[in-house]
Order: sequence, then C-alpha cells, then structure tokens
Amino acid sequence: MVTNDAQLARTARMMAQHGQSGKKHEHQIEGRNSRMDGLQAAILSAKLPHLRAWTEARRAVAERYRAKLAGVVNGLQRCPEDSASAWHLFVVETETREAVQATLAERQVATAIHYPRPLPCSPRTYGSAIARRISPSHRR
Amino acid sequence: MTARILSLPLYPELSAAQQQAVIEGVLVSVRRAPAAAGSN
Repeated sequence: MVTNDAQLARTARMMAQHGQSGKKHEHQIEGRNSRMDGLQAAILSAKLPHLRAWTEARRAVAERYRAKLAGVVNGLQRCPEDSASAWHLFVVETETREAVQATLAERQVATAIHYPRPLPCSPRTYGSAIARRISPSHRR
Repeated sequence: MTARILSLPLYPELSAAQQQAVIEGVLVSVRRAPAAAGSN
C-alpha cells in the first residue's frame, strides 16, 4: 500500500498489526496479522529501483494494445484522465471470450480470466448485498 | 450475448513481436466471429 496520507498510513499499519496503535498489546481497532516478512521485503527492495522503468514499459505495451484493439473488442479498460495506470492487468471485454482465448492459446499466448466468479458471489458470500446487485449473467 | 472479460498478457519484458502476436490473435479471432465484435 502506498499513500501520502499520514492518517491513512497510520490506520493501515494498525490494521496490519492486529489493530495495535504502536504500543504493544494496545489494540484500538480490529485488524489482522499481515506484516511483510523479511524475505519478501528483501526481494521487493531489490526490485524497487526498477519499478519506474517497468511501469513505463507496461504503459507502452498498454498504449499499443489500446491503439490496436479499440473498436475491435467490445470494451477496454479506461483510466481517468488525471490518473496514470500501472496496468497491473490489461482486461478486454468481448462477447467471444472463449474464441479469443482459444485463438491466442493456439498461438502460444496465455490469457487469464481473473475472478471468473466475482468474490461476492462465491459460496461463502453468496447472497450478500453486493452479490444481489450483480446480475446473474455477470456472475460467470 | 454478454461481453465477458479476458486478461491479455502485459509484462514489461514483452517483446514487440509478442505484443503483435497478442494483437493479431485477437484480430483473427474477432474476424472469425464478426457478428459478435463491437465498438469500444
């Protein structure tokens, strides 16, 4: 998580430390233990200097995809004009998803369907308020 | 028919040729099923 909001950063740290305020055993809010371990930190520290270049490279690929696929598929991800996406994913909307996926697979291009079942529609949460707002046709 | 989402490969190290393979694969697939293609 990255933020320039000091209060938000404090809250996030508390949430990651079982809600502790910074003083051991003083739990002020509900939280969880989700602290990064040292090995992960070491790897990410080694990667961090490359982040800007990698992000720019991702943006260049996304720009090319957007230029070539606009009007070809049914929809492309949009990014607000005052923002710049790092394009963690490049997701298209298509009525022929399975055909597109099969054609790309024939060409040794791997694709993915991220969350084919939306999390609010998983068995554990099915029936939740969010799930009820997702139409049945979008639950697949 | 409902449009569904599909994530295409996007990595910093993706070569121009690999990017082109992705683009051409999508174009070929859509041409095979022109009735289903739509505008953005």
